[in-house]
Amino acid sequence: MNLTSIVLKNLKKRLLSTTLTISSITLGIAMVVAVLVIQQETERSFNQTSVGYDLLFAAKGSQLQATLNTLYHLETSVGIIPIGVYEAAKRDPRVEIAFPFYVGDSYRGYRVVGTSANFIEKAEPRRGQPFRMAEGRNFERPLEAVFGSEVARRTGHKIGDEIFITHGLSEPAPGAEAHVHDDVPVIIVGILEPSGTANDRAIFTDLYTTHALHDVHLHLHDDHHDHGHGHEHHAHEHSHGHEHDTQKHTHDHGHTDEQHSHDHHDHGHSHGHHEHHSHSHGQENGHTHDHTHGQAASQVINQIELKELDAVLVRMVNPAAAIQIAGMINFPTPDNPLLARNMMRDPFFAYKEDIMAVVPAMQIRNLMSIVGNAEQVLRLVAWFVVIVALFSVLIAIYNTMEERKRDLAVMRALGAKRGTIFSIIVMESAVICAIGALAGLLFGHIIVANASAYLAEMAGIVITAFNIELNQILLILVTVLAGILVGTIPALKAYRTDAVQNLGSGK
Amino acid sequence: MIRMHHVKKGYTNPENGSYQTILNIDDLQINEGTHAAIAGPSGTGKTTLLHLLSGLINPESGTITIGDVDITKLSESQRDRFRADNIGYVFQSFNLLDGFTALENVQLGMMFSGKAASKSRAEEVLAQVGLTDRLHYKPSQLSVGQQQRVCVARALVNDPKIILADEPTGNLDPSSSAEVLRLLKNAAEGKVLLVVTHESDVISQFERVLDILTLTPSPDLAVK
Repeated sequence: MNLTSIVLKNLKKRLLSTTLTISSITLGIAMVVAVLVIQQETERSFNQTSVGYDLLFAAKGSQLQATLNTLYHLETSVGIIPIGVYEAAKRDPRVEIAFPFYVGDSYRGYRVVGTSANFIEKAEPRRGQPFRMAEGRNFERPLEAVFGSEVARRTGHKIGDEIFITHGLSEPAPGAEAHVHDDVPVIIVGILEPSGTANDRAIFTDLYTTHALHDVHLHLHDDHHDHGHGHEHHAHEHSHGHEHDTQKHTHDHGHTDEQHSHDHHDHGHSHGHHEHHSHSHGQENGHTHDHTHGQAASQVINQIELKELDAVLVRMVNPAAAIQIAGMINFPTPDNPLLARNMMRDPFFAYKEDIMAVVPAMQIRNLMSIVGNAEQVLRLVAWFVVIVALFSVLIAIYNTMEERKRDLAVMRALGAKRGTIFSIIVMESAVICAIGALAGLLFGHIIVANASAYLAEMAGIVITAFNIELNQILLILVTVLAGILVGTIPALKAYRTDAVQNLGSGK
Repeated sequence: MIRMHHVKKGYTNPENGSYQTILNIDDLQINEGTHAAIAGPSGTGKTTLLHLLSGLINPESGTITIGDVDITKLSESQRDRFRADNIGYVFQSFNLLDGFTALENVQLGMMFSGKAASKSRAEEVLAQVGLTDRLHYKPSQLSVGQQQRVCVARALVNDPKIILADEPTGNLDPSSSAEVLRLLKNAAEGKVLLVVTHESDVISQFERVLDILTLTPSPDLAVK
């Protein structure tokens, strides 16, 4: 028996009142935690993704839309830019690295991003954290894809599975038919580790593949792909709608194709070992594909001409140069003729009519300041709920003082000091607030966990729930301190309780 | 053991502001091992006398010495601690805490003294009052006689030098009353036991009686 057990017994004795006051604190803290975590994680998610890049070239339009589309796989593309912008960026000594993006297709609602292989190898989805392969390898040629972790988890696809990509970004309306590229099978060669960014919900493939998906004239059939490569391939039946047994086919690549920058044998091109999973993407007519990916990839490269992109993302050698280039592209009318001459020499200047230059971090900062205002209001509401809850604790304990006078007097008669009585009441308030705050923290993270799926779906923001940070610990401590403070009011009343008058005896 | 010297205690009537003396003791000495009844009609200061002795209140003047400690010179918190260590209190209305079991109520009696609230000691005194099989019963689950026995156990648990009982049998039937008095007297052997009562049956069980009205002492209680 100690003070804590007295406190807990007192709280248990008034279980309903205790539960209600704890619940009110829980509700308030859960709201604060949820707002705090969602705001913090959203900001972090946006900032971490944007800080890795200095400049974004996209078609003229909304700078924010271009940023959201390229970095967060949200919104739609603002338009098309010439592929020359990417070529210029690759050649420019001011540019450390450039990544091309060609988008607009999807698979089961997940966006397919056409880019270069070095995006997976060299880009940093989070500052200082490059992409890491969980399984398999990077795409190395057309018709190969790397899945973001979330896409792999949600679709259940494995390395070696073939998918058929849909033209457009969303699932078709009920009754409508999706435009599925059923003649362009794409094979999954790699699955990324979770990065905690929107990239987890994207599928990456090379530019040829995404161009091929847009090319209505592309046909990848046997009668079209005899390009004199001397391929000897064993056709395998690829019937969609059911699982295939393991098949084997061999390749006899005796050719040298300039457009193939790699040897097919070197990267484990062994489709024969794939287990083909059934696909639920409208391909249930059981039609047959006679192909091998090696040949199909060759056809894609032969038939497709890379002409356009949606965006080029650039990391500069000197980030300050990004502002200068952005100024030149976006406001190309300087009064100073010397500056104008310098501009004319700039490789990007030639594209000034077609592109805009965006500093992603600046766009995200602007976005966050807008979102921040709404978040501020939400946070104020949440704190208001906490304050009301603290008042409910005060009132609940204060109201019990009258009925508890006898108990307090008995404890005083047994030798309890006034300070001990004061402590008991303050502890009751603190315990209510501590339990409420801890439950609120848990409940808040449960809200975040539930909201995270929705946010990921709607905004591509990957939020990690149950990531308890220092500010949340501080929130708990502040709530307990507030509980102590609130508890002092009834505690003072208890402190002043006259033991003699309340012992229930005569004079 | 106990000496009250020139002790005066009264109260101010809140209605007319007049001061009314309740107790005016010139000199009262109570020796170690004394068992006495404090008799007198209601409202004559019997309970006030116990409150003074326990240090719950201080007199307006005079000294109260217990052993070699003048408790009127102690601060309130020192008196609280002194009370916890040296005084056992038995109330007419038991004053057990509702949410606590018999065992916990007895342990509560130890909490505010310097001793640890030992469970085994609480069980031992509850056994002494015959409640071994009621340790985990709450007051509402006990008869009034049993409740008063828990109250007695709580008063005894710290092995106090002085036991003060305020109308301990006031709410009990005759057989429970006799049992509680027997327990108190047995437990208080060698200690001071002062029992406030206006019941003649109870008074008759004590050899020494202090009439609070006339302050007439029986042998061993010296009021000057």
